[in-house]
Amino acid sequence: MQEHIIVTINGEEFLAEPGQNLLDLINTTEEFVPQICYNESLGPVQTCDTCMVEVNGEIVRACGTTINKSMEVNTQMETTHVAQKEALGTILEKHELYCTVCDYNNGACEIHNTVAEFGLEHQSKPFKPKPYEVDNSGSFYRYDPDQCILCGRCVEVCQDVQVNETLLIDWEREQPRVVWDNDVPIDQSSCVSCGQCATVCPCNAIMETSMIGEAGFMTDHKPGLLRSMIDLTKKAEPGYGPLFAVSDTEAAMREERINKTKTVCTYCGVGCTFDVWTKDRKILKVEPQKDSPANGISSCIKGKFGWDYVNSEDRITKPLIRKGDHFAEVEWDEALTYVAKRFNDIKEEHGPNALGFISSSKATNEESYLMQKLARQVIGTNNIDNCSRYCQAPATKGLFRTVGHGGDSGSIDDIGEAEMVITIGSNTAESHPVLASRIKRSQKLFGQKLFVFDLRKHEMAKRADRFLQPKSGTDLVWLSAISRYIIDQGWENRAFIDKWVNDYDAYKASLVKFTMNYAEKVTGIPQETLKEIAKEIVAVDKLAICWAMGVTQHQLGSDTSTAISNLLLITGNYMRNGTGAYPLRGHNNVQGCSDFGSMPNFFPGYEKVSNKEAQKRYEKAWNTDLPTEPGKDNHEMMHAIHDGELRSLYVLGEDTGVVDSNINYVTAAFRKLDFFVVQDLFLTKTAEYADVILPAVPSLEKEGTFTNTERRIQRLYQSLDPVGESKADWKIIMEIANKMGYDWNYQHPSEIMEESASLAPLFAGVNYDLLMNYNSLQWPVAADGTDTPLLYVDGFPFDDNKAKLYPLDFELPYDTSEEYDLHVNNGRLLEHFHEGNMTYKSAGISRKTPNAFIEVSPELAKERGIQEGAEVRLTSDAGHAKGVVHITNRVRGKELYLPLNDNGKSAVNYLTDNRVDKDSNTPAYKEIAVKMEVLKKKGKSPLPTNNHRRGNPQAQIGVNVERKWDRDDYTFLGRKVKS
Amino acid sequence: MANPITNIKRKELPKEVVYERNLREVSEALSENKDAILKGIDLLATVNRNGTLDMMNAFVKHKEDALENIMQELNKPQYSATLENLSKLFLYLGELEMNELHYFTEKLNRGMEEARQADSSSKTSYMNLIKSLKDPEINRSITMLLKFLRGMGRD
Repeated sequence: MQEHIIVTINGEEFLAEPGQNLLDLINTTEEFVPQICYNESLGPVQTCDTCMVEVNGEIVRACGTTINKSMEVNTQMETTHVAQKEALGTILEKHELYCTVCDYNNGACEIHNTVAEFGLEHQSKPFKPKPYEVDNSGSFYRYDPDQCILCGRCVEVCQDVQVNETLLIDWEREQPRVVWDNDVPIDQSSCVSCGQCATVCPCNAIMETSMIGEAGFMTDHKPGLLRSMIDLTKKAEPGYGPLFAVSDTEAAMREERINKTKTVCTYCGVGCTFDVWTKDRKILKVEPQKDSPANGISSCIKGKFGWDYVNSEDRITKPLIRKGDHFAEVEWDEALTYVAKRFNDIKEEHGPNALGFISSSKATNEESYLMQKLARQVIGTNNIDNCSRYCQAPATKGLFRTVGHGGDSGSIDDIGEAEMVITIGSNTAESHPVLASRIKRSQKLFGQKLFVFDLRKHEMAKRADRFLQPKSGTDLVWLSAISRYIIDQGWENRAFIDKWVNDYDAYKASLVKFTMNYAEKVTGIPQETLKEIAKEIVAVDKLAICWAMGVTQHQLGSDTSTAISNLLLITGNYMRNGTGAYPLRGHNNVQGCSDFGSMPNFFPGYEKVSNKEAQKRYEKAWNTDLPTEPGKDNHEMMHAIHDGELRSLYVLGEDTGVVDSNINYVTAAFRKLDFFVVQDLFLTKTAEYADVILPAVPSLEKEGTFTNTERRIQRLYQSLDPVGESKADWKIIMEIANKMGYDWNYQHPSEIMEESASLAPLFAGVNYDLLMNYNSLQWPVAADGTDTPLLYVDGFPFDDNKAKLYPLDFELPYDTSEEYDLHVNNGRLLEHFHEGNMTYKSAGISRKTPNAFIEVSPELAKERGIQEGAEVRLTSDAGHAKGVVHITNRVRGKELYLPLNDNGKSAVNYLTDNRVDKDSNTPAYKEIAVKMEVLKKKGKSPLPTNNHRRGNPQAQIGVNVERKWDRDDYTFLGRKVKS
Repeated sequence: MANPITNIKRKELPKEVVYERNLREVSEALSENKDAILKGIDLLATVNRNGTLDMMNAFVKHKEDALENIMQELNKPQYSATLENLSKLFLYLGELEMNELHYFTEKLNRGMEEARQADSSSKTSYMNLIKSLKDPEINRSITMLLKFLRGMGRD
């Protein structure tokens, strides 16, 4: 039992946790204390001085007071009132209240609300303009120094939550202000446009540009006119009472035309949730909430600002059928009848296994469920897969072998709580930005150790306590060598292994090969370093390992994932908060798409199609016989098309012709298909080969659920109507099934989830009521609705509840050669996603990062005699790609980096070949050897001057409020009112 | 063999079809909101008859100009003083003791009534002034005024 401390507030006694913040405690009572800089998600910033209270006879800031012993607090005395009033007055000296014509007047302005609740009637000190222009240089938000009260929340969030370290307040100049980097315009700074400063700003000082002139009824006027209206507002609305009466009415009127809808981000697997503000089809802003389970108030550039594609002119709005040299728009009925007929004909002529189905990691769980139901029930084939084949299948495999569940062991909170985080092959800060920020924060503020293993010196590598660059594809070796060394030293967690782990002896025997000498030779990491790392790993109590495509997209992807899990098992780093395995899922719903059965060998909830009991359950529910042989995965489907076995393909929301490896081979397969249906928002590269294109809708235009990397199922609500005649994927799939003679009758996605939950034990208790608004469930979900934030609390899902150590071997299957002498690494860019079909449609993003580029090391550039902006052609044994060179020391030696977010001539998959992970058929995207041909020796840099990579971050902890207190013109109000 | 193509032939809906479809949508809405529409027509007829409709139409079309003119005008110093006075007056009203004011206003009115009836040619000598102190009504007024002066002078 934790001891509580008694705190008396205005004569009434309350119980506080030791170490609790006093203001936090006061906020749980009925007492009102003004607080403008304080934000629960940020903690105390201590800049605004409005929360003055008396503690044991002394006037102090409530937010700056930690409760360590019992105390007497008074919030209502004359002196505290005077101090609070004085502080509010100082704020209004810096901030003009012209609420009625302010775009931030939406009921949540914290200055407005505080002044109103405090009952302040008059301006005690006149507003003083500051000698700075508004900074309108950025793509996404603007800063108005005249409205800024210097509360420093934006600085706090940038320095310590996002940890990009761009914003600071220059306290020493005569008129302090927020500055970007070393005082450059927003657009020229290191700002990554995560937008969190705008989210936490208590007023209109930092505001999304999409809000400006849009949110209010009277805010869309020319600047001069707006200024006169501001002046008049101030004259005509004397005192704050009438001003608030008018502006509150106007704010209430805004509710009528601005909708705020909760949604789940459509980009990466972190699963950020937020409110989307829409006015008709305009997206005014995206606002993460403190109750957002995965992200809290955080967001990245794509989730906060990357929604322009939804309103793109390029959206397909009617079904299209190939007619000779063009696609013709047709009515839905014609398109669906045609699809149903062709599916039936091909099934009749060639059997059900001549048809293949590819689900989308961008679509909902319900849509994945229906797609596999279409394949299995209506067609009778297990030829169903999804893009997790391209990325995640090896991690899932490795976890199935050892611990039994193919998902993250815990939550993002657990990663934040770990004493040590190791990332392997993960460009976390660009691929999972919000999750990376949690690690960056824990490392910066709470002493978490961060070890990064990667080829490339990306942001996480630069921040790491240890950064190691093993030779490509050799992670299995150092992992196993460290495991062996730990066992040799007798440092393994004996108690944990005895109680919870099987197959120790066989595993130990398999490690014979992995000596320190061998590891040094194969990986290039000195053995002394490896030994130190082993020692440090066993010295911490809580270790979490995060990995991504740098591990999985190799021929030994599954084995390497297994080696990670083995290491965690022998050190006892499972079953507790702050520990475990975190295969960071790439796309918003790549976890859920596999979870809900779009897999050739699994029913929903990872029950094997060969499992008799599961098969019977589905046969009964669907009233049909089901195939028991596993079907073909994506990769095998491409082979089968070339072999003439697979004749029809239905691809939902995947640009397979860009994202699969060896796209020359894939597009050649498309040409051979008898019938090809693509369902998408746009006429993608893949859709160009289709016979029928069905117009689908983006996440904002439908309901459903997504499952993030934490196994967290979250609901999205519909914020916009479908464009034209486009439809939600689940409706289209249902209509195809019905055209084929079935009678599916789902009125709402909740009914699909209900059916799936009734059939898959893993989701037994999932239902939409438990997922209302910001509520979420982490699977497994028991029938009574209990979910599982931390896996393996009561053991592992095997017969005897014990995990398994899995013996491994290693042969280096890939290397560069004399001819193909360069290694191409590839991965994501923060600001773009996937093949770029969505993010390149954002003008704001494209002006900062207009295209992909090839990163070349300074050494290699010198050796080949090329400079920034050179043009090169890369040739692998599978194909060519062309691109513009950016020279950077993020890469070293003969390694190149090519962002995968491009669908033009720079698309990396012109280079990748048919090599795959031997256990999961995931393409070995990360094993490309190329030769480089110089086309042009130098040119214009592919990285514009306003790209954040060119900025100069200024790291500091928090807002440095002491520097404010040191100013000559600052007096602590507590002292002032006392004297 | 399907070659990649990017050309889309849009299905142009015949004008008549679009017209029909729109018309149907509108008449459905009319039928569903019959009462409101009829009242609306009545209102429209009224504002049309008295010329307000034309004025509103013109004003809405020139909203930005009108607003600019009004703002420019209202922000001139002379209005500014009025606006500020208005707001001060508003606050001043709140401070006045209305019951007291009412009492005095009544007396003041009676005084004015009496004064109006007075012959403007008649004169008052010192003696008359002293004598009139004996008049209880005048004496009450003088006493009251003296008390008022004392109150006004108090810090």
